[in-house]
Amino acid sequence: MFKRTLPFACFYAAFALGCGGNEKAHHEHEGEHHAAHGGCLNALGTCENGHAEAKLEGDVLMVWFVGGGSDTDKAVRIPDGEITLAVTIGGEKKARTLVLTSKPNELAEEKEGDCSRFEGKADWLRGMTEFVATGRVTFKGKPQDVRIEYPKGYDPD
Amino acid sequence: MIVSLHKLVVEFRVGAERIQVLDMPSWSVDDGEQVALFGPSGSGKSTLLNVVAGLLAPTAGSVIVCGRELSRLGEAERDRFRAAHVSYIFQTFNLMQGYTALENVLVGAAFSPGRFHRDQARALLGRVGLSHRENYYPSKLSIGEQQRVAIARALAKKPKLILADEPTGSLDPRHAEGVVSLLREACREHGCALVVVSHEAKVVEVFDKRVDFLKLNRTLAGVGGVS
Amino acid sequence: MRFPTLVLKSLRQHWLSTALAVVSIGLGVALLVAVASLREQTHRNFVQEGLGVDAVLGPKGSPLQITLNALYHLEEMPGKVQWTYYKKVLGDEVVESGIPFITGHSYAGFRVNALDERFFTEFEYLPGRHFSFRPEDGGRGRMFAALDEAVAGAEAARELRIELGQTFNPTCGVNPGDPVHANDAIRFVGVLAPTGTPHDRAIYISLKTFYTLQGHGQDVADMAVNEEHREISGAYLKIRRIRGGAMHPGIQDLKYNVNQSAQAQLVIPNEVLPRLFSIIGWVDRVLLGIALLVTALALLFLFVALVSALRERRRDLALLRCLGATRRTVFGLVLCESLFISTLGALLGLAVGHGIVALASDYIRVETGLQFTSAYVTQADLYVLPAVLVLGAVAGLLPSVQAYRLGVLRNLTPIS
Repeated sequence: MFKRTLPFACFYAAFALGCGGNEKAHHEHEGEHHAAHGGCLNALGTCENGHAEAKLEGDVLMVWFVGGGSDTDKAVRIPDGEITLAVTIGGEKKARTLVLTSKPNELAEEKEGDCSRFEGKADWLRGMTEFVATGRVTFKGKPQDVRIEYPKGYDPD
Repeated sequence: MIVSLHKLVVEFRVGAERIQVLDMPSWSVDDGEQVALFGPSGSGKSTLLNVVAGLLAPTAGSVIVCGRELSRLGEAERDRFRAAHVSYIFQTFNLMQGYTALENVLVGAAFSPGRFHRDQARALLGRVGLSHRENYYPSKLSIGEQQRVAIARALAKKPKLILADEPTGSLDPRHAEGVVSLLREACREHGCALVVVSHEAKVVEVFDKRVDFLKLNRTLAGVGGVS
Repeated sequence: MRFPTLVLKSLRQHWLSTALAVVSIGLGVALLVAVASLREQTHRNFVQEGLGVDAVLGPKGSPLQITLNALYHLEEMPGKVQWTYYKKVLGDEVVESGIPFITGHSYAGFRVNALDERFFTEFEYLPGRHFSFRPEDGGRGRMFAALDEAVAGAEAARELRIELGQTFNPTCGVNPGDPVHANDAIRFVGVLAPTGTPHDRAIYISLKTFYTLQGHGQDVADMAVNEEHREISGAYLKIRRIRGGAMHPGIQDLKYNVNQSAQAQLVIPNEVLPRLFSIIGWVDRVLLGIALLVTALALLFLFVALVSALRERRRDLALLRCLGATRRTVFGLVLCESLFISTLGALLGLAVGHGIVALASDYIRVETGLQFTSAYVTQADLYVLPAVLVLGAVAGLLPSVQAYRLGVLRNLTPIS
């Protein structure tokens, strides 16, 4: 019995280690994700596709659209002039609407319709500690769902 | 008495065998006395001197030197005892080759209590007629001069007892006579006892007290001694 | 004859092996001390508050290259920055002030940099320290005023033996064989007091002087008056401070914003240089490793020397025992010899190590303008002596034990 059990045990151990290793390797790049503005990173689709970095200051939510993988300090410009987010706070059933307008980075020669930074302001944002916001943007020329989980960030992987 | 031995036994272990070298019922040397021990090679004379000097612990018996029972002392205590009271002169002088004549005399008192100055060492060298050789290394000294340095070194610590094992063994007869005479005079001047071991008749006959080692060591009454 | 005398006598008796052991330990320690000192001083020099610069606005390219060119007068700038863009950055709320500069010219191996004259009045090359022309500080003359005037850093002036009033023709480039502005004679009117920074190794002219050098042509000359077309190599930026003197946290946002631009980038020297050190950190680790290996080999040599010396000294040690030395005494004798050699080697190594640093300091100062000093004390200086002593004791332990166990009678056999 031992003779049969041992190979299985080794195989299982290798499998478990391999899976665990793979899983670890897949998320290893997470360690390299750095939020350039100190906000939380939310994957757009997959980590490698891009991120929306979200930061809440007072009653203003700022969102920067940046690259995927380790390119989280590289801006990705969005052609949309506005982004509408449905914001769910805590256990509320009804989502609130927040409109983000573009805030072009002048130093990067951005303009409306070619901008990576958006801001939305609402009184009810003040003092918020946790929320989920969803919406849709045109990211890298394609429609892309946006999911922001504040403050921990969102990574479907 | 400066030396008093009683029922002294010395045995060596050679492999599984025990070999008896010394079996002496009793022997003594008085303060300031000068004694010559004679006997054939291998009769155990050097072993006796080593025991008296505290270099060798007896297997049994009592060894009292300068009032101390050496058989009850540990090795380090015997070393310190020897440093203070007993000097040893060898057949082959055993001078330290890297030291000058003066330094060899100085090292003679290196482990003794009290200070021993260079001037005192110079005086001793002068006493043995080697003032002019104080900065010479042993390799530059004649055989006779080397032995005289050894005598000066032996006197450095102001010992109560000097043991000399075949002190003239490496010397020609002319030098031998001079060295023995010097040794005896120096011991007399310093008031220390002298035990000389020798197989040479010319050396032994100048001593007032002469002891036949064959009669002293009961081991030799049997098969014979150990070399 | 006392115990220390016996130790010294013994060492003298085997003076050759003693000397070799001391020298080899000294060599290992010298390497350790020198490498540690140069390493620490290099680190300190290169990361000392970015040499007064909070950030450098430069062209797109390698941040390291920009830092080395802007602060250390090494390398070349990988491009140009538009003056209009510089002004835009200057208008950001976190930027307190900026000093534009142009690099790329040279004279007799020293860089000729054009910059705004506020560099000499407002710029703090180290916290609280401004440039000076005052004789009591070691300076001479004054700042440039006219178009044909220049000032020199202290090291450049010393090496080129610059006298006030002397003229030079700048080279359009930093490489041998680059063309010289033969028709543009510029006069030295000042020598800066030494700062102990790479700024000592450059020659400075005004921006306008640069633009109006005859050899540059009309397009460049227009830049002197036309901001729209004006280009610079970069600008030193001073960032606003918040409470406690810390840099405004908005610098990271500014850096992000500028770096998204196709025109320029913002480089923070204090971020770039530590990264450089972590990359090349292996170099000094290897050097330290070599130094440790040499020291270990030296101590091994000491061990071998003591063991072989013991074989020759059996008779002498037996004689000392016969004269009354205890086993502990001869043990101590051999151990003390080892400790003495180690101490001497360590002290020699400390002296030689600092000597190496002194020699290297001169060379480094001449080549880079950075100040190194042989008087710098590192942790290696503090630990090397006790460490070598401990290791010397270890090296001497076995021979000492052998001496302890020496048989007196066995080793006092007659010599032929």
